Amino acid sequence: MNNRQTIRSLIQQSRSWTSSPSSYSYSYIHNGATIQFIRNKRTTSAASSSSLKKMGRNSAESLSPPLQRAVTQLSVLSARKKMPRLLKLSNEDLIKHQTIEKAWMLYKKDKAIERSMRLQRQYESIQDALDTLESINPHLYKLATSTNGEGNGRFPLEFRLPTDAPPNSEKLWPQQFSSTNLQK
Amino acid sequence: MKRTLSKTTATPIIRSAMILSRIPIVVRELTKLESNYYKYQSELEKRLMWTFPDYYYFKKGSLSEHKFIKAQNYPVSKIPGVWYPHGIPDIKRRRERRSKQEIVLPRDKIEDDVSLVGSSGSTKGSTDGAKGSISRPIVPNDLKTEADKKGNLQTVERELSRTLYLLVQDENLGWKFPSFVVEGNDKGLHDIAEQAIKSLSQNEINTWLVSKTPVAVFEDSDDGSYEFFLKSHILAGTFAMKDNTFKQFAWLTKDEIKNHVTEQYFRNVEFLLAN
Repeated sequence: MNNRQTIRSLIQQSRSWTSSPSSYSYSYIHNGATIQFIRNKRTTSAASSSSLKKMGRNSAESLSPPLQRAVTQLSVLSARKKMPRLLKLSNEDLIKHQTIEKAWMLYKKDKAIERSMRLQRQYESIQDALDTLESINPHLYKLATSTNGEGNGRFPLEFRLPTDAPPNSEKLWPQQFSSTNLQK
Repeated sequence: MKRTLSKTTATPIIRSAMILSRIPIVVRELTKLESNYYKYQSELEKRLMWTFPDYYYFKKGSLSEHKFIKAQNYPVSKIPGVWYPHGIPDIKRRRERRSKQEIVLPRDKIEDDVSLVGSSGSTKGSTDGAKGSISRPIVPNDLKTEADKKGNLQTVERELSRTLYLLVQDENLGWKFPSFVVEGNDKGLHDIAEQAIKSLSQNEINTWLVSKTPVAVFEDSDDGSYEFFLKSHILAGTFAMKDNTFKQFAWLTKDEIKNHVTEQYFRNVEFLLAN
C-alpha cells in the first residue's frame, strides 16, 4: 500500500476541507498534521503525514535522521524523476546508428576469423613439429611430451599485465635478477 | 614419406631454437575505428544515464553543497509565453531530460594555481606543490623511452606497446632466432634451449617456458638438419651477450623482424609472432 492511496482514503473519510478542491491551494488537517495542496499537488512530504509517522518522527515537518537517511538512500536507487527521455532517432540517425553497429560487428568478425585462422595454423604447426620429432628421434619426443613431475610448473607471478600508461623510467623493467633470491 | 626414410638413415642434426619474447608493458594503441566507436558508445551511455543524485553526496546546507551548486551550469527551466527554438525544456531535478547531464566538479582557486605551477615547472611528477598536489593534473609518462629516441635495439625497454623478440646475428646465416645444436639424448629440446639462452647471457635472466613441446619445425634441405622452435617469455633481468657465439643481438618487433631476416625465414615464423 503506498502513501498516495492512504492519503486518498483519508481524504474521502474526513472531508474536512478548509476551501473547495477546485481552488488554487487548499489544506487538510489530519491528526494534527497539516497537508498542503497547491495546484492539486501535495506539498508536505508524504512520509511526514502518513504511515512513516509511527516509525520515528520527531516533529510534524521532518523525519528522524536515520529515517531520513534511509529515505534518501532509497530515492537514490529509485528511477523516479531521474530517468532521461527515451531516445527518438530520426530515420537518418537510425540508419547512421545501424551502420555504425554493422561496421563494428564486421570489424570484430574479421578479427575473430583472423585469430582463429592463426590459432589453427599454430596448432597444425605444433602437430607437424611433434610428428617430425617422433619420426626423427623418439626419445626427444618422449621428453617433449612427458607431463610428469618438474616442468615449467606454475604460472609465474612475476608476469605483469600491460597498463594504460608506462611506469616511471626506473621501474620500466626489473633490470636486476638473481636466481638465488628467487629460491628463498 | 621423408619421415620414414629418415628413420633408416643416420640421425640428422637437430637444433633447438628459442623464441624469447617480452610481452607488451603498455596496452596497444586503439585503431581509429575502435576509438571512434568507444567514444560513440560512451556518449550514448551518458545520454541515457539517470540524473546524478547530488542530494545524496552533499549534505543539505553544507559548504560543499554550496560549492558544488555554484560550479554547475544548470539549464533554464520553461517559462510560459517564451518561444524555444530548440524545443521546450523538459527539466526534472535540474537536469535537461533530452540531453546528457554535464557535471562540473568544483575546484579551489588555490589548488588551481598550484597545479599550474606544477605542470609548467617540472614534468617529472614533482611534489613541490605538496598542498595542492592531490588535484594536480595527471600527466602520463611518455610512451617513447630513451632507447626509442636513441634507436637502441639491444634493450627490452623499447617499443612498450609491442611484443619484442630476441634475435641474434650469426656470422654465416644472418639474423635469426637463437638456436643450438642438440647433442646426445639425455636432455630434452626445452632444457637445451633454456640453458643455452641463459648461459649466452652475461647477467642472469628470469624466463618462463610456455611449453616443452616445440611450436614449429624447419627442415633445412641443404644439410638435412631440423630446427625446432620453443616459446619462452623473459620476466626479469638484462640480456647481454657474453661471448662471440653470435655477432650481435637485438630485441625486435614483428615488423622489424621482417626487415632483418630473409623472406623465406619470415614466412615460416610469421604466424608464431604477435603483432
